[in-house]
Amino acid sequence: MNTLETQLAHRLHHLVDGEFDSTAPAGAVLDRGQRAGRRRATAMVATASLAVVAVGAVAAAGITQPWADNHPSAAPPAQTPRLSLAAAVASSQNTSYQVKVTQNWGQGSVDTTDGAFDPTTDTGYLNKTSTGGGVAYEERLLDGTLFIGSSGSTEWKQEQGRHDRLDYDRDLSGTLSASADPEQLFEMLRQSGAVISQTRTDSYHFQVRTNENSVASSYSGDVTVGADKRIATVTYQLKNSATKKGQTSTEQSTVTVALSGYGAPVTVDRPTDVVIVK
Amino acid sequence: MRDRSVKDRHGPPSTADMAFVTFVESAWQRHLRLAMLLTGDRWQAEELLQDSLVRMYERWRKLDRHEDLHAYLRRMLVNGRTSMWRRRRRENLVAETPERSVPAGFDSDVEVKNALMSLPPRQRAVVVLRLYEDLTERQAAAALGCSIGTVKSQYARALDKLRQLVREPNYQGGRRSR
Repeated sequence: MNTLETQLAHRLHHLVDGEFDSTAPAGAVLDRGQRAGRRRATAMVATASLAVVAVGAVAAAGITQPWADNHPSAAPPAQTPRLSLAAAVASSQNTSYQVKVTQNWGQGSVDTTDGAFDPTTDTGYLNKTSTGGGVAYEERLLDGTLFIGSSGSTEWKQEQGRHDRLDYDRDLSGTLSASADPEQLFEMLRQSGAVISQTRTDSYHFQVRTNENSVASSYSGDVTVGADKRIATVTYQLKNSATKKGQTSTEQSTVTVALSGYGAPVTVDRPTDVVIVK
Repeated sequence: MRDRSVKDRHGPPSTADMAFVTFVESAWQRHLRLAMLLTGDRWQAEELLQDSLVRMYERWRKLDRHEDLHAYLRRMLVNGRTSMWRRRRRENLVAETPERSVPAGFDSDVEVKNALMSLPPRQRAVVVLRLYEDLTERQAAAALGCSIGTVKSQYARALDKLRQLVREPNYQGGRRSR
């Protein structure tokens, strides 16, 4: 080994061997592995977010099977609920908001995301944690500049370019997840062709069924509209089922998106310890 | 130290799951350091290691118990890092890559870290596997899923680049071989 290699080998060990130990997040890894196994078992064809899944699957397959086929009473008689909801969606867009997303996978496994976003200034933040432990994930967006941080480091990463949204989907690596981005949820509701029925003055029920690659998915949820005529909550249950070689496997999760603080200013502190991603 | 959430989980874990948890606990510290050298920082390393362990769990029941599980995880780490790099299109994640020679060799950890991060992911992986993990060329090729010739050429290119970043009065040439 020459001098350079000797020096490098020594420095590489010096660089990391003194790092402090941390508890192996075995529970979190096990949770994620089991979830991934369930997703694989149902052969879910997933894309980057719930919205994309719903819209994409419906659009690609051209299969929107209104539950009205089985539940005639659920069919909107004269589009009125759909239009009312559309109005609430329209008034909820392009304004700032606070959001909290809870995705419950069952057996005590819950992912929680808190955040706020102002689309007019491209400013906001999100903090994501899981009951299984592991690394808490954070994003801050300041006038289109995105910073990414985590509990594992005091250092923040500044992403290149201008950004106009927060990446709520990172932790699940682009698989099916709850998107905390209301814009995406609104798109989903408007474009998915969901059957919508008005259940009360301020609440709507929607249902969507898709069927692709032998995987049947159903979204069943409720939207509530606040006194300000803007969306207050979106709660839905996702069920996937697949049949392979005569055996049917299923999975489900429950997602709650709570929106508040429409129009309120969103301020975010610029991180101090920043490394620029080149 | 055991992650409390393991015992707090609902329902009794299966034997396979308990074996997996034991493996995670034994592998975490060792492979976290390797992941740190591959990624350049701690939280990305934890993310990479967790992702690799999750993928390993998915195949856990099919893994040959006689296989070197640590070598298997190492393979997932180095290849997962390359995939992550491609996916995010983040080349050369560095604070400040030295554009010129530093005074004399690697005088600090920061210098060696910056130099390492300036390498393309594949070359960096070869350097780390050879010099930190102390793998032979054959073992490094197995970890990377490539030929020994590729390891040799990647390693040589990496050293050439690193040599440009440092002024090394005592460099004597030659290659490491085993």
